Amino acid sequence: MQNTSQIDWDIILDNIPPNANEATVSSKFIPSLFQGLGFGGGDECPQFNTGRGADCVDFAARRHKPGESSFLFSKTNPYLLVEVKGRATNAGARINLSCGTPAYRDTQAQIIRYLLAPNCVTAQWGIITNSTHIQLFRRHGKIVIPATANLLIKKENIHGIISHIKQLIDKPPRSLSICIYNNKGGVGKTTTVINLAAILRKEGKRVLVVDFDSQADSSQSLNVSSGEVTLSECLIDTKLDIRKAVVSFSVTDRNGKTAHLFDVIPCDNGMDRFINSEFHASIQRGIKRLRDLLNIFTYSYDYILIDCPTQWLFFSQSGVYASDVVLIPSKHNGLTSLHNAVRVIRDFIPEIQKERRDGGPVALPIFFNGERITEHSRRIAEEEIDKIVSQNDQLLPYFRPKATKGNKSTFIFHLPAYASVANAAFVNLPAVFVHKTVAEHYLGLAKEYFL
Amino acid sequence: MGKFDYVGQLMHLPLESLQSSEMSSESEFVVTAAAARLQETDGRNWIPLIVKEVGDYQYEVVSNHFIFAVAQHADLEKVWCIIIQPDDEIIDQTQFLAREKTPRINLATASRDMIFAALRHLAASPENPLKGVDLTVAVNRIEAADRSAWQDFSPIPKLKCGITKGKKLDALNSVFFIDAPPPPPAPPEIISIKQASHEEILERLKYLTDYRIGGFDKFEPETIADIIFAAPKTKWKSLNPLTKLDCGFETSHIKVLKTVFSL
Repeated sequence: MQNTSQIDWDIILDNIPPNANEATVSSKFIPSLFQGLGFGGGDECPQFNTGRGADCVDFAARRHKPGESSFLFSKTNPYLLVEVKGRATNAGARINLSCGTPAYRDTQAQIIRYLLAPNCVTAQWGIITNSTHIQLFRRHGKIVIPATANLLIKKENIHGIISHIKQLIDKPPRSLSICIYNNKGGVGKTTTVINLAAILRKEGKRVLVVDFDSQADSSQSLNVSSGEVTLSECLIDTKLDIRKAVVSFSVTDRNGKTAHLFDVIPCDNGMDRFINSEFHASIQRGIKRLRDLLNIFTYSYDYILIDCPTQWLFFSQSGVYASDVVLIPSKHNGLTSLHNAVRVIRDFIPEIQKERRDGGPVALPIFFNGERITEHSRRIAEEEIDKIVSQNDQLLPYFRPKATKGNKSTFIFHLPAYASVANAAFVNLPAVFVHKTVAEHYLGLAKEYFL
Repeated sequence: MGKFDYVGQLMHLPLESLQSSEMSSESEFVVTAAAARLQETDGRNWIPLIVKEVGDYQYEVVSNHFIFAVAQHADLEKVWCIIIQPDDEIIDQTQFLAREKTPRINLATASRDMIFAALRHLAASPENPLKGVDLTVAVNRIEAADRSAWQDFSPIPKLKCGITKGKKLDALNSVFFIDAPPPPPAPPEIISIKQASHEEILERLKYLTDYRIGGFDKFEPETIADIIFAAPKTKWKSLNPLTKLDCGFETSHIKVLKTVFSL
């Protein structure tokens, strides 16, 4: 099998005409792409039926393991999907696949749909390309996120791009990091973190909770204290092992039997001083430091949940920078939480994306947290959301996630409030372990977004 | 500079994460004594080191090397630094401001005041490389010379201003550079002066004057093009009659004109 460095990309790229249609890109570029990514003969199959209606993705692939039938023969359990576009349409009109163009948005939506289709549950990666642009997406449960930026292919960088993509798909990360954040306080961020962690654990997932809020709400609710080293020490001292900051959150049942639930990196007393910006001078790489620290856990947990404070300062910026997705709890009866959600999606996350340069993190659709919705308050919230999306249609997927061209769905996931959720904090136990209905609702949240 | 960049920020970095390719040449006495004072004042260096990021959690000292030497001598665990953008021009600037490098000026365009100040700066240095040079005479002659086409300092000894080839001329390198103009493009094709249109004559004369070739910069191309074009040339047997026209050409100019005109 040839590796990417043996492929003469100069010749391959020279042979693709500027007005190449999809068929030409498929025949002149895609075979070398697969070869560069380490796929051999029989590993890929064109026009793979995704199992959703008549949807077919242009190519699907899985590496052949000894003793297994080849993918081309079995056509099951794909690992990578590739959606190809031309550099131009058959009629010769140029197709611009750069970020923000309608062609890009449509193709991105297409690869997400394919990755979540029934015949593709084993597919972890999706590529969109027209041989001028290329972007890799990663699927984790129900989430599809960019794994690279949308890259412009040039002769000088194609080797680097292909080997970077190969590196990623050869060693897929296990975890999805989720930052729970809204710029408005009192939307139940900590409650969401703790109960989401608990319900994901109930579903058999390995979970790490990072309390990155100097108020230490999560740590106090769970009654956990620091490990051998503290998170604040690790932020400053690059030689400390962050794994020693991890403590276990366990519960003891009536029979005295202790069960481990999930792991926590608690907040510690040292975090308070980082509110003072003078102490930021000791944190090398600034807001990037937390992501560097958590990187080591990428292969050992299914979910990393990061609890952040409200203000858009060091803690929250670090939490959002360290995450793959941002989950934004909101309140239907507090319009400021909606407007703050807009700021997070429209302003803050793009700032971080610009800094990260790998396409991440991405915002998830908002959900309503707490209080029973009366018809009146629902109407007010809906009118406000109508206003928000009419001013900026790019916000539609976050405020009207189920709306399609033909269906104006106003659905937003809603977690009702229960007294038991708040009370559970006093017994240092996530409410989902105390209250069956609460557990049902958080399971609903986990299934809506992640599972 | 990105919004979340630490570029420009004062950072408190571990000494061991810093490296330096240059050494401070301060005497051991100065370094030791300064280190002692630094320790006496809580070990906080109030004048920061200037560093650039060379890798994740790795930095290189680009200026204030003296402070780096003192911090090491004082056994500081962490030292206050400013991380700068790693562009060569910016690094140069920090070194000028830290007096670790002397800035140089372009002699081709420098003003009289700047040239004079630079020469005085050289003369004031302990080794005075311009010993015996009358600075006023030197600056007068350098200023008066047509420096715009200089490729290097070699025309200076010809000015007979006391700056001779060797140590004196070499010393100028530390305060001046010459940003030589780009070489002229290939000349227009040689054309018969008898058959050339007014436009073709002007184009060639403009080439010689614009690129100051063979002393042609003193001519007015439009005026001499008119004279040449209007002159009766049918009986010419060479280009020499050009010297008889009212253009101000001398024999030396004919040689230059032959690079763009034939008979």
